Amino acid sequence: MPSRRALPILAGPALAGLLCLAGCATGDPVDSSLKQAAAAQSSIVLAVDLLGEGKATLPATRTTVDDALRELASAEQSLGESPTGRRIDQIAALDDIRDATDAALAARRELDDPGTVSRHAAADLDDTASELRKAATS
Amino acid sequence: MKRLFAVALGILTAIGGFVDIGDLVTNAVVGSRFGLGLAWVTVLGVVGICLYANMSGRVAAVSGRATFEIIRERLGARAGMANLAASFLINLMTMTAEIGGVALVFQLVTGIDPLLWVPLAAFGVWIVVWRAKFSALENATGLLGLSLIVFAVAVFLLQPDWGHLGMQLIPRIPESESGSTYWYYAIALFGAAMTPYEVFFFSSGGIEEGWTVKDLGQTRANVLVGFPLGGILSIAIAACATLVLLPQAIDVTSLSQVVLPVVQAGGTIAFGFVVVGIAAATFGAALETTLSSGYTLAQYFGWSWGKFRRPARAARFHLIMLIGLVIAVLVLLTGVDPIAVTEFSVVFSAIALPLTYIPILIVANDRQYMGRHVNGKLVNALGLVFLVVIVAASVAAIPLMIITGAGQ
Repeated sequence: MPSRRALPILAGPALAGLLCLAGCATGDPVDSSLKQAAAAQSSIVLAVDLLGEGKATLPATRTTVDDALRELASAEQSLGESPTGRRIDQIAALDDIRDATDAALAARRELDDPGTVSRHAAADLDDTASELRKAATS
Repeated sequence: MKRLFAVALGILTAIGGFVDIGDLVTNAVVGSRFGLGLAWVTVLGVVGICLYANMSGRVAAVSGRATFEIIRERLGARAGMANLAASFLINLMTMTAEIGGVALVFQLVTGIDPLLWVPLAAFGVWIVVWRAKFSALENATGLLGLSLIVFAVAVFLLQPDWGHLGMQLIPRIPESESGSTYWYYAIALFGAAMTPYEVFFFSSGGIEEGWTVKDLGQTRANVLVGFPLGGILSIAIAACATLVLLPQAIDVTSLSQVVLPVVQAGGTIAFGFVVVGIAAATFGAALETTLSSGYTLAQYFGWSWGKFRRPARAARFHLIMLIGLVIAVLVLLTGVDPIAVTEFSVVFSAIALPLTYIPILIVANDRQYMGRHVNGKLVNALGLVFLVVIVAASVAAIPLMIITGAGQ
């Protein structure tokens, strides 16, 4: 039984333990990673559309794409590291996420120069987002 | 006329100051995943914060002392220490989230990495806390925070099917979500609406501004009109996410996604308003949490405190705030995601709620401090009902956090 004086000292490790437990408890890694990646890619599509319509600013669009790229990387990493009983699904999901990341990176490069996203890059974003959404709901 | 102006100004700053990074992020996350099916929690949280903020404001106005001073005196050093430890840690977490929020807004405007903005944001907070008058910092950020009304305007510009949107207000769990995530986010929303620092800041602000029994009407108006209108802003944030992000299955994980519905509705002009509003809301809340960290410690230990004193006469109060800011900056510079800090801070706020609100209810019923201004029967009945809700949320928060993997 820890003394009363030790309780505030134990609060830090207890908090860290809770956060670890919360971080570890996830559902099916294939489904959750596909859902995470689909959400990220869809937000890029929306941000790029808004930029094309002249509604969004370039820095805000870049920020949305950067944030989404971070989410895609996180989805790929967590899926790659998680053991699943569905190896084929896992590989297919990883392929979809990598395709989406390539399309997002291409769009990000175009946002740097020339500052707009070409029709071809926008179509790639749309296609990869649809693929991810389809995979996430199947 | 002057009195009326003061009341109006107080209400406006209460509306603008109600929303902080926790409300912004949590409402947007909930809107993008659950639609308006959790709006009832925001309403519940607003009623709760009105009830207890009003109580703590009355304690300050009647006794001339801030809540924390009385909590220690009334409940003793040990109970006061438990309250202090929980409140200070949660407050520090919230402060970190708010400073991170300011940095994220600057990133949205400039495209420059938020890590570069973190030290500047913290320096800005420190210089304002050090130099600006209390009323100036409260009014400026509160009034600029009113720009967040753009979220409510955006709901109209998006021309929703009002019947369908209204139907979303009926509490229900979407097929894509589990019951445990629904209740986890219910607790997060409740924690965001009833964040403890709001009560400490409100009560200590009363002392800073020299409230007396004569000001009770004004403080009541600020709370009972300003906070509910601020709550409507919170629901508007969730409604924007419901209309634009939910149909595209975009779960909110970043601040850049929170503003997308407003940009879709109103273009660059709306974007201008929303960044001013979020910058004011997060910067204002960063000021409030920084001051609250000084208030809680100084009031517990009996140090000289307050912005109404010259910094040299409240040195430890200012030193605590400076140390708090340095810790927040160091945490953010590790690269931790400010949005993740925000999401955890609102849930940990919910866990610590009983430690903040039970003592306020006890003190507000103590005739020795309150005289004839003790709680009436209705306020006590409501206060007890809310205590049950607060304790239930606090007890359920940790198991739900573990079961859902923090709402994943």
